[in-house]
Amino acid sequence: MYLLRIALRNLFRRKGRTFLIAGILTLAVFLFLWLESFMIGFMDVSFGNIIDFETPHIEVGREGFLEDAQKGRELPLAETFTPGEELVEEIEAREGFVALTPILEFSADFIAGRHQFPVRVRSIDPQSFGDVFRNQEYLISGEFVETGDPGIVIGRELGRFFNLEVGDFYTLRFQDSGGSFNTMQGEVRGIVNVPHPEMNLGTVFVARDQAQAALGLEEGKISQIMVRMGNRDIGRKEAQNLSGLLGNGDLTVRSYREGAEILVHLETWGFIETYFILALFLLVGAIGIISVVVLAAIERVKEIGMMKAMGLKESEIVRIFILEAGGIGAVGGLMGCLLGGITVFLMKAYGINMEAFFDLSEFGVPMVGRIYGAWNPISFFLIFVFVILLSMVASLIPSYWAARKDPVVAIRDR
Amino acid sequence: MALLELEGVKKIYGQGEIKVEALRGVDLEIGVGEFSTLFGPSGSGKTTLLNLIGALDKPTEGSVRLNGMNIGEMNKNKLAMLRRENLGFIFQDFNLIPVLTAFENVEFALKIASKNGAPTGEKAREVLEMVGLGDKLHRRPRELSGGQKQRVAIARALVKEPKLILADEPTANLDSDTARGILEIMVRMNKELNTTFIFSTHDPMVMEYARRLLEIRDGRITRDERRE
Repeated sequence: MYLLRIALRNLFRRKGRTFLIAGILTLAVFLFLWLESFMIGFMDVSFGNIIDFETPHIEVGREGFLEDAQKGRELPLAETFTPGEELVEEIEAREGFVALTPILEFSADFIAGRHQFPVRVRSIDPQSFGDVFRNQEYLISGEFVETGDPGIVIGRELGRFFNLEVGDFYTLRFQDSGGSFNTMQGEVRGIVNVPHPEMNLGTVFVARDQAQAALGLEEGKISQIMVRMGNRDIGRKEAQNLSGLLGNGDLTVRSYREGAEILVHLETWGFIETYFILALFLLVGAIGIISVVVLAAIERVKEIGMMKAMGLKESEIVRIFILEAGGIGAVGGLMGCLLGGITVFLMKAYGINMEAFFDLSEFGVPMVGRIYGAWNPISFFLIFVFVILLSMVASLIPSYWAARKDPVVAIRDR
Repeated sequence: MALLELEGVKKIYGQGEIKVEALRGVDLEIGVGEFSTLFGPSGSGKTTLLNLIGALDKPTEGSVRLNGMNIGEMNKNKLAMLRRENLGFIFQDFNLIPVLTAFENVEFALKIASKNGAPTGEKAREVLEMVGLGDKLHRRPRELSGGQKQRVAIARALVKEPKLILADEPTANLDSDTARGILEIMVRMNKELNTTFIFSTHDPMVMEYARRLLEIRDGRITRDERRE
């Protein structure tokens, strides 16, 4: 107990020095917690938007089609397929299954007036589409497409680009399954504004029966089966299971993450950056701890000598310095967690309006608006313990250096 | 059996051609309860001899036996344990731990020497009262005068009831009246507890109190005089 008492009181002998180093550690902990919360929140919203508006938890389609779709190439109608009942039953039997909907996607030019714009046409089954996707909830005018209706639903940005409103006419020009150019025409039935920028500009929705006829495809041909599961973890797990079940067959199964390559890279680099910043500050903190212990040892040479004369072993003197360094780490860790906690609380409650800084859609990020922070209590605990341990480890060598001082020299130091 | 036995003790500092022979063959025996003073000019070897007796250093040649144990054959940890259980030190600079109060400084010394975790507070208080600091238990060293600090240092050395107390110039930083008071406390402790004291000093006043005078010159004991 006395060793701990001496170590703790020593912290206040050079308050300025103690709090300077603790301040650096505070900054490291605070930045880490803030950035991590930001990254988790950012990824949560981004993946959430992908699942709700672009690719749900599981997507089943032909390899060639999914790859071209992911890389933004012209979508190949030759890669469409007719799902058998067995496949549908297999999907529905998955643990955590919520709903599925068939999609027929193809590439087209959207034409209105004298202008045209390349889009991805998502032809849907209006009855089941809403069970998997949430686009319908984000209608800002008009209504969603219905079976038998040649109308189209467009995103807000596409509408702005062409100055279109509900009731205006549109034309879609595309190559049908025979390779001939064909068109679909009708009225704009509705306009959506979803928090996924790509879906507001480059994707339009039509009824599947209308698209099938215009494309000259057999009835029942689709490009993907989109599946919503209970949650993301189940989605990833069941995508793997389903993939294993389908084996080397004609179809490929992907989870929402596999279809979001840019986001996965962003996530990886975001976390690497967070840990890099943490490591940088902790390195400065560790150097600070080493300096503190070395300076303390120089200042307290006589004390070390006296303790040795009293019979303290070197290991006990080392313990005093290590406990002292751990104390600095604890102060830094605690203050960092406190500041981090306040910041994460504010981030979670109010968020950060990213639009005020830059347009994320330019980087291919599927989100607009505010990013909200996320709590990760384990991080608070781990970073607190880690900073204490790091401080202790950083002090090991200088502590031994201090404790090994020759008592004969140390005790008469002036 | 003598408490302390030195036989042919030599201590040489330095290596190669530059060597300083601080002790040139010291033979000495100190019995239990002695109150001895080691004196001599600066550089005569007093401090070196005290370091060897205090198990802070090892002889180059010869043997130093404390309570029958040869310190030359002990490793660092064993030497630490020997000091912890058998020795008390008093220095001219007091060397109190500044972050501990008077009481804590004394109790700390007792705590580390105590093997079975026995209660230590009462004993620490008692010894501080014996040296006249019963009313200053919770003062930090910076709140005490030089004389009071030295009394804390004495209490710290005495509290674990060591076999031997080594005092290196204990009155050097004190005025005459305070020094006399400190010496009288040590004489009283010597008589009451039969603790063995060895002083290293230049101070004639300390020599007045000593019952054995040991003069050291050029690394040898040149005078060993007992007084009643």
